[in-house]
Amino acid sequence: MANVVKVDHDLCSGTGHCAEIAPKLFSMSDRRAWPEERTTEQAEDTELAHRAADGCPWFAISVSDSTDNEENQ
Amino acid sequence: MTTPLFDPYNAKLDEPWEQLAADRQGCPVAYSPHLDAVQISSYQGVKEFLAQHQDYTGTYSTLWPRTEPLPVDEQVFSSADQPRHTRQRKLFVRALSASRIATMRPFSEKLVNQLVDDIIEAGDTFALGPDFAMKVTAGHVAELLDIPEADRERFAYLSGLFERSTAGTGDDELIAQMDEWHRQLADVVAERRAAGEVDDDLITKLCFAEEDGDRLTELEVAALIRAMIRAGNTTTAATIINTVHALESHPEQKARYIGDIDGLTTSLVQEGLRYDGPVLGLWRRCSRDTSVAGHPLPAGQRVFTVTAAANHDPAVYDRADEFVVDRDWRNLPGHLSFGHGIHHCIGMNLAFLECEVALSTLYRRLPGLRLDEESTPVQAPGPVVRGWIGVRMRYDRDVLATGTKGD
Ligand code: HEM
Repeated sequence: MANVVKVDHDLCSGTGHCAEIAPKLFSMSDRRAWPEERTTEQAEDTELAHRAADGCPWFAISVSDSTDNEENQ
Repeated sequence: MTTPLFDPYNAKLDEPWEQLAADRQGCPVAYSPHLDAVQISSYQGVKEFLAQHQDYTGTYSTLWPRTEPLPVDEQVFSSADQPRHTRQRKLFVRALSASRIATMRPFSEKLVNQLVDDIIEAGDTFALGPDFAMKVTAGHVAELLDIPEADRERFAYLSGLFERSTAGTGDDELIAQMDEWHRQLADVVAERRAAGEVDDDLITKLCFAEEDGDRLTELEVAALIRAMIRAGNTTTAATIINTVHALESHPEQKARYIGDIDGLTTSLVQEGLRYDGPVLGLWRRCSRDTSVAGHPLPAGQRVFTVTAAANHDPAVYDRADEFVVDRDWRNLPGHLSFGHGIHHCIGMNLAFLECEVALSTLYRRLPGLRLDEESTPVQAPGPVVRGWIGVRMRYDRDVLATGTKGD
């Protein structure tokens, strides 16, 4: 199962921190960040997505793991 | 060259660009005996350092080179580290988000037009800071906090005082007035809390935000609000003033702007922030051994990031030392005037709104707007701020046709 990466556009101010941290997971347009249409099945992508979420000054990114295995966090 | 030339305590230059260029080229990361800190002056270096928030602390204050950390109660926002910082910041992001601030535009336009009406009423010259820019920022903060209309003038006056208090001119009357301001704010907080969770204004939200089942005390809420006002008022007023100053010093750019105010206001504000933004640089300390651009920085090392030098880095911007009002900001790397990383300015959306409306309205409504011949602006002292003080403007009041007043 894949992870779901979301950007809350009520919060996003388009500073582009996520696209710098994880260029393959986010792109910028219309002064907002958009998650790329791709699934983040690989562990390294999951790691990156979490780093982008941690690096967002607006706390606008959420990554929900749809696996039940907590050790995957 | 290995020793930086930048010496803001000795001689604060009106135009520091050449001096900063020499440091950026010769020693972009180097110990400065003048600052007693490692000075970072390249765009990449400043950004790389600010991104590594695990490696530094703001608790020694980012505004002063303190030798001791601030008392924990005073560690707010910029001077707080994770996880304290995250808790504080989370309380504010929604109220200051782009989507929320966009709803303030009608207020903003009304306020700024009213201020221009007042200027026109008063005469053909005005003091850009006290008569306009500072009133713009105080008015917006009062709206954000939903201060009752009748208290706004006093609130605006009192929120401007702290600048004088940090300039070290703390006489008894000033101290008494500062106390009045603290009380006014604490009273507002107490009232909102007593009213219950009925409104969704920022103060009410802070009053009812829960942290592990605990609520912030009224004093804590007031302290956070004060910190927000301090971080936002001078910076935004100085951005308006510095951008006017830059326009007035570059007649051909001013002409270009006036020729297309609608099309160029967004890029004007970005360029004003890049070319002469209000933050010259900020202090920090390494909390553990780290490095920037390959230069080792030991734990405890004091660091000064020179925002103004980073923003003029020719590795990132063409004609970096020139003021160019129509840069294509959608395709340029962002300037660092709002910082970078977890402390990135939380007020940026409000600041953009204020600056855009203030600058466009001034130049649209006041014909022949220019620096008053008598005006000799000087730079605010110290290494942390860029701000022109004493800017007086003149315009052709007799040319104002009837019907140009804002409604
Ligand atoms: C053009 C105007 C402004 C400029 C240039 C500016 C600049 C900055 C910079 C450089 C920082 C980062 C400081 C650091 O690295 O620690 C910052 C942080 C901050 N700004 Fe602004 N600011 C402006 C307007 C505002 C406004 C209008 C508000 C609020 C109403 C505001 C509130 C804050 C707060 C609370 C922080 C601390 C954020 C944190 O540490 O997480 N600023 N600002």
